[in-house]
This record gives sequence, C-alpha cells and structure tokens, in this order.
Amino acid sequence: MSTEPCRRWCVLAVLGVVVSMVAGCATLPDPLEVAAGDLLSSGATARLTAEEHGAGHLTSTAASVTVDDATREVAAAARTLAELELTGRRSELRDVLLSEAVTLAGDLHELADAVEAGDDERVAESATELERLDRRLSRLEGRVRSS
Amino acid sequence: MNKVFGVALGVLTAIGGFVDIGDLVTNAVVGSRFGMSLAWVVVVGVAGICVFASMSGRVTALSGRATFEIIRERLGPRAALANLVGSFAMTFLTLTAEIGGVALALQLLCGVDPRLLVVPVGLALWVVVWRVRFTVMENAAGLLGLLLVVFLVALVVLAPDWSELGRQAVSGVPSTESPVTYCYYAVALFGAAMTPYEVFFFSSGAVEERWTRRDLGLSRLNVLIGFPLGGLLSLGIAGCAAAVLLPAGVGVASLSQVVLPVATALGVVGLVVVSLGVLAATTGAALETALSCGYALAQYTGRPWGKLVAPIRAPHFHVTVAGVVLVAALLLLTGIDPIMVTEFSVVFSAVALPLTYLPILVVANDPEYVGDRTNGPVLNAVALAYLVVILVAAVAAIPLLVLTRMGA
Repeated sequence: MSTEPCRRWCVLAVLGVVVSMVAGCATLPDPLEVAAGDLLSSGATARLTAEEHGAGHLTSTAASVTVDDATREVAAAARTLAELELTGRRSELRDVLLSEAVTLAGDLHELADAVEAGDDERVAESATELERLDRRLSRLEGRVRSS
Repeated sequence: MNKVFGVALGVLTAIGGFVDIGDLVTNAVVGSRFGMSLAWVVVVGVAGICVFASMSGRVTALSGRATFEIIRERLGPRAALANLVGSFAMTFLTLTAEIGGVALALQLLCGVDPRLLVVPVGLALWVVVWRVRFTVMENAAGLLGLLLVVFLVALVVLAPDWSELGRQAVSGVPSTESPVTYCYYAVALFGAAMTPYEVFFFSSGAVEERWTRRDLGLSRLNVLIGFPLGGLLSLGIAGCAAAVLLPAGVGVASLSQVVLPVATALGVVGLVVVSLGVLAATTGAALETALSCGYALAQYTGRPWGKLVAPIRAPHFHVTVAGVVLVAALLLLTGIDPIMVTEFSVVFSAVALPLTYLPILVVANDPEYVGDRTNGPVLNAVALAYLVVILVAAVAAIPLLVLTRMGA
C-alpha cells in the first residue's frame, strides 16, 4: 500500500477532529427540555435511593452521595430555568417547572437529613413525597416535549 | 507461568481498558434510555477491537517494536505527527475522565468530595507508574477489575424479563426515542468499545514484556479471551440499567446512578463490591492512558521509553506521564464534570478512530515488519469492512452530536 493516501487521511482526520471539537463546543441543547428531563430523572433517582436505603440496600454514604448528585442536578436545572426568564420564552411552563424544582430541592434536603440522621421513618415519608412529585414532573416533562 | 501472566495482560486491557469510565457511563446511559436495543453495537465493537488488537499484537511480536514507532517510520514524520496529535488529545481526554472516575468511585466508598481527591489520586497514580512493577500493576488492576462481574450477578439476581430484554435487543429504535438520537448513542458506544489507547497500550505493553514470534499464540489468546470478557461486562452494565433504571425513569448523569441497580439486587455487599470494581477498572484505565500518552510521545520522538526503563534513562517518557497526570488533575480541579468529560471523550474517540486503525492495517500488510505473516485475504476483507464502519462512525459523530444536542 502507498503511504501517500494514509498521509492525506491522517491530515484530513486531524482537521476533522479540530473542526469537530469547535462544532461540538458550540452545540447547546434546548434548555427547557433538558431542565425538565433533569428534574424528572433527579426525582426518580431520589425516590429510588430512598426506597433502597429504606430497604437496607444502600449505605448511608452511598445514599448521601446519590442524593447530593441529584441535588446538584436539580440546582443546575433550576439555574437554567431561572436564566430562561431573560429570554421570556414559554414562561408559564418555566414558572411551573421552577416551582417544582424548588419543591424537589426541599424534598432532597429533607431526604439527605433523614439519611444522615438514620431516621428510617422520615426516609419512608420522603419516598412517598418523592413519588407524588415524580408523577407531577412526568406530566410536566411530557408537556414540555410536546410544546 | 509466564503464559498465565501474558494472558493477564489481555484481561487487564479488557477490564481496565475495555471496561473503563467510558464503558461504564455509556452503557448505563444507553441501558437506561434504550434498554438493550443497542447491544449489537457492543458486539460489533468487541469484534472490531479483537481484529485490530490481534493485528497490532502480531506486528509488535514480529518486529519487536510498538505501533507508534512503526507508524512514524512507515508514514513519515508529518503524517505521524497528525496521528500523534489526534491520538494524544483523545488519550489525554480519556485520562482526565478516568482520574475523575477514580475520584467518584472513592467518593462512593468514603463520601469525600471528589475535588478533594483528584490531586491525591493523581499523586498515587504517578507513584504506581514510578515504583510499582509492570506485572504487579497489571495483575492487581486486572484481578480487582474482575469484581465488575458483579454487574452480571446482579442482572441474574434481578431476574428481569429475559424475553423482554431479548425483544429489546432485536427491536431497533424504541418508540420513545428518535432514530437520530439512537444513531448518536450507537456511535458513542462504538467509540467507547474501540477506544484507540487500548491498542497503543496493548502493543507497548507487549514490547515492555518482550514478546517475540513465540508469543503470537499467547497474543491471540489474550485478545480473544480478554476483550470479549470486557464486552460481556459492558452488556451486563447495560442490562442492569435496562432492568432497574429504565422502568424507574432514571436518566444516568452520575456514577452513583450507574451502581444503583447492583445495590438494588445485591444490597450493601454488592454496592461495596461494585464500587471497588469501578475503582479498580478506572485506576487500571487511568494508568494505561497515562502510560499511553508517554508511549506515544516517546515513540514518535524516538526517545527511550518504557515503564521498565529507569527514569534517569528515559526522563522524557517519565516526565510526560507525570505531566499528563498533573494537568488532568488540575483540569478536574476547575470543577468540570468527569461524566461530561467522559461523554465527550467517547464521541471524539469515534472521530479519531481512523487515525489509529488505518495505519495498523497498513503496517500489518507490510512484509518489512511482519515478514511472511502479513494479513490473509479474509482478515483484510474483515478489516476493510470494519474500516468502512469506522469511517462512517467518524464522519457521522459530529453531525449527530449537533443534531441531537449531545443526545438530549
């Protein structure tokens, strides 16, 4: 095989990588959809964590880490939603989602406290609360996707 | 006994290399969103890495030289420089993701903030590279990485509806996802399965262990046992996510979510085992990627290299390894999300795949390096077919990334 085509391929490939990186960095997902999806996933994660911790399947450390991760995701989603106010688009859905994000953050805080205190009863209550919230978030996410 | 140790190299590259943070995250993400409908990509990826890694092993065993040395000699310094830049960048990005993965795994075990852990982790990696013997390093990481078998055990204990998983595996695009998003994750999974550094580490490791023509059979054995084992574990990770996270509506965005299904199935014991397995796999892969950065640069510049070579005799190699670990740790200290870095690294790996695999095919057909053991027509046909797939994945990766808004 001649080396010349290989050289050309290599140069083209490197150029492709550079262009790809620039293009990739410029890629931004739809913030409202992402925020809605993140809230839904965080709520489901927290509910699952509460249930598994309640069943003795998760150490307090792992449960705390999982709830912390979910809390960070909710905080990021809330920030995104708050920033969306500047654009003014789909504001009604944004307001509802932001309100639910605040509720979810509160529930996660409550769950984290309960896990840290080793209070199984409060963990179970959190799981119930999160289940209700999950259903609401699921409906909201559907509305965002279809809007 | 030496043969057993040789096979361990294949196991190491399968567990620490094949199942790394990219595989853990990508398979869990895919399983939680697409069920088992992308399992075929893992199978295709495993077969592909087997084809090219066996070629790379043969070239190394017969010529006594690592892949990158030969690429420079065969393609010339300019083309090899292009190859070096692309491969080095991807390997460094992967190293950053792996160090982040080590810190996240430690967080699951001890609860300490991962940002506080990245510098000690980087320091520990450097000490291992500097002081620990190659065989000890590979065997320890390989054996502990086998703890990830717990994903397969968890899948059995979860007792999912196997017929449903089977149906997902052959059903194509799920109704809840778009075909474009499906293709994006197919490319990401393919990139994760065929990560280029695996081949560089494999061939350089073979030189470190002084493989010769007599080791050809061993080389094949390593590839054919090690990589499929890694692929099976990947399928286990996706299966666990499909069984637990998909029905619960959990989209994977953190490592703590990846291990949740194992805790659901096996409780605290399973959680500890999987956390240790993730720690071993990411540590092994971090060592491999750090060494691969050093290998690639030293082999291109023609300087002495090798973990077995004392730092005073191969200063550039050892400084490169220490330097990339330090820079990766500093990068993580800025607060970037290691999972995000992982997602980027697997997609950009797909873009860089031709840089690695085309030159290997060229060299494996050159009698100057492999004598009478050039590729046969069947192997060349298979490899060319794979190159077509690799090129399609590389070309499609970025448009898909843009179109799907990074898989959102």
